[in-house]
Amino acid sequence: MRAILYLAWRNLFRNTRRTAASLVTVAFGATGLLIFQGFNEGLMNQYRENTIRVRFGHGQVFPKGYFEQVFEQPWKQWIEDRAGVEAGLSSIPQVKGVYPRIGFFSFVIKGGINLAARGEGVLPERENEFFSRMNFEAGRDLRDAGEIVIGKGLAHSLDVKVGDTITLLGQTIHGQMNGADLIVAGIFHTGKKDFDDGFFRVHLDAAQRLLDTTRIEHFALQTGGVEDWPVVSQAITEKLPQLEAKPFEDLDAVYYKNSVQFLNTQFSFIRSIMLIIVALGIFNTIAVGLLERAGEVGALRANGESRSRLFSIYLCESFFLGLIGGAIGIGAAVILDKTLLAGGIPMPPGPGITRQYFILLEIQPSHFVQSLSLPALTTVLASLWPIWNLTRKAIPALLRAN
Amino acid sequence: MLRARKDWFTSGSRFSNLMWRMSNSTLLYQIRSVEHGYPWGNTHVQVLRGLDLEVPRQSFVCLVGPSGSGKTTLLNLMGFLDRPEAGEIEFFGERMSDQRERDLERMRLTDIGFVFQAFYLLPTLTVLENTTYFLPRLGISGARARARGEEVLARIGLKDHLHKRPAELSGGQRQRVAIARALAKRPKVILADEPTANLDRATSETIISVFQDLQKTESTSFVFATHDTHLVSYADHVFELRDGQVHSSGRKA
Repeated sequence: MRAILYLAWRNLFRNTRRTAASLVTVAFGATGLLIFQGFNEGLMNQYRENTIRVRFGHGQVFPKGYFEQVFEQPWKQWIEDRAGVEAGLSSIPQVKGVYPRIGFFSFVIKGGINLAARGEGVLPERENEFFSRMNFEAGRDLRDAGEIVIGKGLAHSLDVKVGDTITLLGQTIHGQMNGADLIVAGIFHTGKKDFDDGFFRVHLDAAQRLLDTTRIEHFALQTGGVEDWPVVSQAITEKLPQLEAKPFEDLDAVYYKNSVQFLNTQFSFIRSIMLIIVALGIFNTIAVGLLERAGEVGALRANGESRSRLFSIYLCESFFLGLIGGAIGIGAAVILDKTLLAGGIPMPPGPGITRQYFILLEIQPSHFVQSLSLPALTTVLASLWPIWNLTRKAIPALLRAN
Repeated sequence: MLRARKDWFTSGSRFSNLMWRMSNSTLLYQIRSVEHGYPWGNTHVQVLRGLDLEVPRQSFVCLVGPSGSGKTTLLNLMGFLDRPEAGEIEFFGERMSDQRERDLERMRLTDIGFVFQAFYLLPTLTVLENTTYFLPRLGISGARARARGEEVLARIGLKDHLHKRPAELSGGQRQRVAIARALAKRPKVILADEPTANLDRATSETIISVFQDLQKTESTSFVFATHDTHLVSYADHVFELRDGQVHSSGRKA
C-alpha cells in the first residue's frame, strides 16, 4: 500500500500544469461550496433570528391542548396562576426571559371606519429589548397602557398616523361590550402582508382591562439559544404538566418552516450542480491526462503490472488531487471570508424581513469537513470511468495508442 | 535457476505445473500455425498468417523483416500481451491457450522482460526507481532491490545517473534504463522492439555484451525485433518475416 501511495503522490508532479489545472478546478468547487454553505447558514440564522425576535420568541407555552383546538370561549382555558407559572418557567436555567401575552379579536374604530383585527397584549417594558426586530416605519414601540401600535396595512385602511387616537371595541369574557381609547405610538411592518393588514399590539394591562380578566393566554419564552429548546421543553413537561411548549418553527410553520425547507431544497440543488461542474471539469482533465499515459500503462502491464494495482495508483492520485484541491479551496474561502466578505454580503429584503441587511458567512466545522470530503469524493468518482477504461484496455491497444 | 516462489511451485496450480515443465522443456517457444490480426476501422487487418517458429532455450534470436511483416505482433504474442486468433504458442512446453489471464500476468512479471522502442519510463521516478519498479512485487524490496538496481545499472554504464529523472537523460540513456528495468527482474526471456535503435555503436556493443553475458550466466534468452544488422550479427538464430510468415531462417554456426 505504501508503494501505491508513493507512486500516486509522485504522479501528481508528472505534469505540473495539468495538476495545477485540476487543483484549481477542485479548489474552486471547494471554495464555492464552503462560501455557499457559510452564506446559507448565515441566511438561515438571520431568518431564524428575525422570526424569533419579531414575534414568537424561541417558543411559547400554552395550556395543554389549547394550541391544536378551537374553543368557543377560549379564555376559559387561559392560565389563571400567572405568577406561579411565571416563577416555574423562570426557574428553568436555560430560560432567560418570560413574556406573558394575550391574543384577542376586537373592532378597531377611527372616525367612521370600523375594522375587525387581531390584537395582542404584551408587556413592552419586558419585551422591547428582546423583540427588537419589528420595524417601525413611523413612531416607536409601545411604552405604556395608553398606547397602541398597529400594522402598516391596518393603519392605511384606518387612515391613521402616529399620535392619532383610535378606539378598540370588544367583548369582555363575561359577554359585555367594552371599549378603550388608545393613542397610536407606532406603525410597524413585518413583511408579512396578512399580519401587517390586521394586527395590533397593546399593553397587557390594557388588553386585560378590555377583556376584564387577569388571565394569561400564553407565555413567549427567550432561551439561551435555539439549541436550548429541547431541554426547556422537557423541563416544562416535567415541572408544569398542565402546560405544553411549542418551538417557534411550529408556531410559524407556514412562513418559517416551509421557507426553510424550500430554501434548503434549493441550496441542495445548487450544491449538486456545483459538484457536477467540478466532476465534469475533473473528468475531462483526468481523462486527457490518462490518455497520455496509455503507452506507459501498456509497457508496465507488458512487464507484469496488474490492472488492479494500476487502478489503485490512479485512484489514489485522484484522491490526493481532490484532497489537496479541497484544502486549497478551503484556505481560499477562509481568506475571502476574512477579507472581501468580512463586512457581509448585502441582501435585499427577504421573506419576513423588511429591510436590506448583511449576511455574514457562518462557517461551521461540519462545513469544513463537507468542503474537503465532497470535492475529494467527486474527484474520485469523476475519475473512476477514465481509470477503469484505461486499465481495462488490451495491452497492444495501449501500446499502439501513443 | 527457477525463481518461482516456493508456494507457487508446490501448490499444484497451473503455474506450478508450468514451473515443472520449464525445468524439462528444451524449447523456449514453440509456435504453430499462428494467425493474428487487428481491427482497422470496419475491416480486419490480418498480420500473421499461419506462422510457425521454434525458439530454443538460452538463445539470442532476431526477428527481421520489412515494416508490417508482423515482427511486433509476433513479439506481443510471445510476451502474452495478446492471444492468437488461431494456432498455438507453447512456452517451455506449456500451451498458452490453457493459461488464465491471471497466470499470464504473473508470467509476464516473473518470466518476461519487455523493452520498447519508446522506452515508456515513469517520468516522475528516478533511474534507480524505474529500474527497481517491479522488484517489490517479486518479493525483493529495500536494500536488496536497491543493490540489484545499482548492479544492473552499473553493468549498462548508468551508475552515475541513479538519481536522475528520465527527462535529464539522452535517448540512448533512456533506452538503457528501459533495458535495465527489464533485466532487473532477471526474466527467462527478454523481448525487445528495436532495443539498439537509440544507441550509438559503442553503447550498443556494451549492451549486447551484457545480453551475451546474461545469456551465459543466467540462461536468459533474448528475442529482438530489429532492423539493426549489427545486432543481427550477434544472433544465434535469425528469422526473416514476410507477409506474416517466416520467410527464411538462419542459425549461427
